[in-house]
Amino acid sequence: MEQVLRRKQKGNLARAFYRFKKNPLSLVGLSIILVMILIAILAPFIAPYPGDSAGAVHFKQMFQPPSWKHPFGTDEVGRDVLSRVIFGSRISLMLGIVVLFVAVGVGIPLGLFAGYLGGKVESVIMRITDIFLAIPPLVLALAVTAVLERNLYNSMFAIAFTWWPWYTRLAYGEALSKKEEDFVEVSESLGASRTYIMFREILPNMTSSLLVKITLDMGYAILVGAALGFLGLGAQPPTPEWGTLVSLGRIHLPKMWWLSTFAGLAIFITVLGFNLLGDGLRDFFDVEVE
Amino acid sequence: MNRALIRTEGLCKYFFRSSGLLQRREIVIRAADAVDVTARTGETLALVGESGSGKTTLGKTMIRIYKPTKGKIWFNKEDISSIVGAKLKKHRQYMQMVFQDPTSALNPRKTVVDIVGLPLKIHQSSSRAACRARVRELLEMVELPADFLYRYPHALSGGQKQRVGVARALALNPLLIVLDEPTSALDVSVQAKLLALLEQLRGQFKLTYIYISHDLGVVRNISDRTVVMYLGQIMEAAPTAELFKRPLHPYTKALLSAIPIISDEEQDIIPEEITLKGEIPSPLDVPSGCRFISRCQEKTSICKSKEPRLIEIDNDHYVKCHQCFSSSQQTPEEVATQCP
Amino acid sequence: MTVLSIANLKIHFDTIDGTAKVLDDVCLSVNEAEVVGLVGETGCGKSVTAKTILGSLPMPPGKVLDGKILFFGDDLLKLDKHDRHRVMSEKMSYIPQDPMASLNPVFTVGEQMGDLIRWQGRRRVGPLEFLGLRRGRHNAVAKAVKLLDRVEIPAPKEIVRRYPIELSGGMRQRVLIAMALIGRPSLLIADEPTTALDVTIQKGVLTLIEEKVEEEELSVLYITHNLGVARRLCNRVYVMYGGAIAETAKTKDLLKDPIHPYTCGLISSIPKLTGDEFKGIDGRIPDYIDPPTGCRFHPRCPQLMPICGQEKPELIEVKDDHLVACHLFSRGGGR
Repeated sequence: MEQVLRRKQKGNLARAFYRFKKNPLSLVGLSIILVMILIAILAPFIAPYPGDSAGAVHFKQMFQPPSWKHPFGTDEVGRDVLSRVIFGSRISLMLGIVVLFVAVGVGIPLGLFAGYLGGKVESVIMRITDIFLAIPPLVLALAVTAVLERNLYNSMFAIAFTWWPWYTRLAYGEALSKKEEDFVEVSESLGASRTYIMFREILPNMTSSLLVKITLDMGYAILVGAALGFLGLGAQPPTPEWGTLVSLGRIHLPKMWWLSTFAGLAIFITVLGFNLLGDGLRDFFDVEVE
Repeated sequence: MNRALIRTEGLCKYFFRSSGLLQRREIVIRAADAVDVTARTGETLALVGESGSGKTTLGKTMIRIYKPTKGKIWFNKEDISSIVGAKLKKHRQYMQMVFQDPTSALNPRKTVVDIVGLPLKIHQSSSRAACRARVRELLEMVELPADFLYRYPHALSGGQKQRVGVARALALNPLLIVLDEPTSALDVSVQAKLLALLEQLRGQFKLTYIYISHDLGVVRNISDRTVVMYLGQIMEAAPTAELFKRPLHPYTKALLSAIPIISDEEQDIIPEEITLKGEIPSPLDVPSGCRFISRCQEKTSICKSKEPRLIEIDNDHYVKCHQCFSSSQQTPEEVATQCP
Repeated sequence: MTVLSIANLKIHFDTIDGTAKVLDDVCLSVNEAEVVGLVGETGCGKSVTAKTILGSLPMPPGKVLDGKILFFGDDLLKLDKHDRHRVMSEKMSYIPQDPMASLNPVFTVGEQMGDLIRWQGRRRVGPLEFLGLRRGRHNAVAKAVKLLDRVEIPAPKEIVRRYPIELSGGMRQRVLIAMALIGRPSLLIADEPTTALDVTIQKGVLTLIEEKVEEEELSVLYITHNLGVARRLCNRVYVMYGGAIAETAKTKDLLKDPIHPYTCGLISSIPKLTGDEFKGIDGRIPDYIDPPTGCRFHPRCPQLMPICGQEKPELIEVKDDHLVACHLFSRGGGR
């Protein structure tokens, strides 16, 4: 009978955390994200003036600079900017999640089919993917929103529409390399169905690169959503989407700087958080592969 | 003598490439070319050769991991060369394979129970509990502790991973197992234990093995019959003891001469000191006539122009070499002395 | 004269699970014009030993606790980077296991050999030379062709223009041997250079190494797990287990008359052409983080005695030039 180690081996989770700890910036990124998520979930409870997030109007208090009563000041109709920024986090995070959900859900299976099945399937899927990849994402999103009615949901759809090809390409590359591995040949020789092999043999081996990309993409998706909002093509006022907030406050710069600045800062910090976390994850997984 | 469990007749496996405007398929590699080989029930047949010899391709084609290009395969007197679908799936249960590299043969993201239980899920639609029980049984057969069920491959040593591979191969109670250099990635002391286990399992479950290897030392000790391959063809085939006592083909002799042996007793077994010049030709560029011609030191003009046939010299001892068989009138003894 | 001498080398390696005590008092020596084999299985520490000599072991997380590596009298561990580099590039050379890892895939053989021929041993290269604008380039390639011819590569003029990926495994290894001999080293460290090669090709490469050793009066530290190869090539052999030397002797003596239970187990594990019975060794390699007390082989030893788990055996000379680290022969243990 095979002997086993005498001493207790550290669990997988403990090892993972130990390695992750080595990179302090990624911990910063993780903290930022966790705080943002918390803010988004608890928005109605922590915003000082929850009513201001939508249609409330207080003309008497408009354009007030930051004070104890309104830490981020008030906007052109007297709404508390802090509350609006807090509620804006819900919109941005939701946008990121929905976009990625669709992009991954559509892109990954397409890439798996193309990579594993090859032949005509591969040609068709990859050529279509190449076409989409050739157009800059923002331009394509603009084009789509120009055709549709301008609202938040359509802007999410537009962004997702431009995002899926990157996941197809990722899955395609991974599928091509993993399908040559012996364990895939074993499953084939046992008579496993092609679907099983794609989703239960190959896909689980992609999770590390997938996770890194999703994390980094969250930041970019939020940025593109804010860009659309800024251009007036996404969420419409009075929805407190960060990009829209920046756009509305732009004409009042630099005198009433608080209208745009805090929303802009929120975008910056969130995207930074996702970037740091994503970079940290990438380093983390690299070592693991080694 | 036992009857044949699996037999091939003129089996060819070529790899193609489509090229040109008309996408014409052209043959690029003749990995296995017109091979006739037989494995008898309960015996271990060894396929020996170096890289490019086609031994792995042959093994995989025989059990239909690859689809044969030409020729026939008979399994238990049934022609399995071109069966597909449900019929093929049924036959897969009888023929299993253990792979060379233990690390890439196991999906790093799956636990042992999922890996070993996969054949059960596919062929027997077992419930999870039944699967678990059977996997526990299989782990015991390969002498691994039951708490390996939920381990991941990266937590196992090379020898342990290989045992998992063997357990997986045994899951469906096969008749034939093809072992593709199962010990070449392992240390010598671990190898010996694995080979002992394989031998014990063979007796216990009345298995037939096709053992693919480049290591003549191992082959000498575990196989009943040995087939020597070079560039996709059989050069010599004989019962193992006979092959080592009386190697006839120049390549077989060169192989024996090249083994790094460790004792003087083994030195006496090696017929003569031969160092082959040159390299193994690329399978993309197979020479005409005898395939061994570029490195053979006994060649004559006929070797270049005409491909020799695989001919039975003696009791079950086949050779494919012009220098060994020039006239059909000669007796086996005369022929044997004629071999260089 | 002693070219290389390692004494009491002790190396620890920090890992996530704790400190791995990978080398435990390693002692070995290589004399002039001799081929010394370092034989052991996976995880015995032979690669770590080679890497420490070459200075390529990352020093955190690794650390040297004790020991000396004397190369022509200089302790390599005590030299600063500059001196160490100078000493080693002049007199030491290395052939790795995987030739593809050492040959740059985007340069031809001729370019790589040419670089080595021109710049061997130099730490700085001027920008003009780097761009190949000085005259030395053509001569270097011609010299490369000559060197390739001496390692019996057919059509060397062709080969210098090829990329590594176009060559077969055996040819790549010959190229590496040629490159390793460019600086006329005194010591060659070979880390299992033929393991990945076919056996008929391996024979050719081993013959080549043999010839070169004689021609250049090289000393070689040949690392391998294959006792048969050691028998062919090495005058003396060190058998390594668990980070320490278990036994050492002249190759003939070790194979005919092995003393250490591990060596005996190793030899009996090898399947022989004679068809004699072969069996493995029970147990598994030691856990370097929590190694067995006393002799690291004792949990697997068929001739276990109580003292084996308590005290570490010293390397003792049992016969002419035949040393063993085993309590069967120590004063505390037996004969």
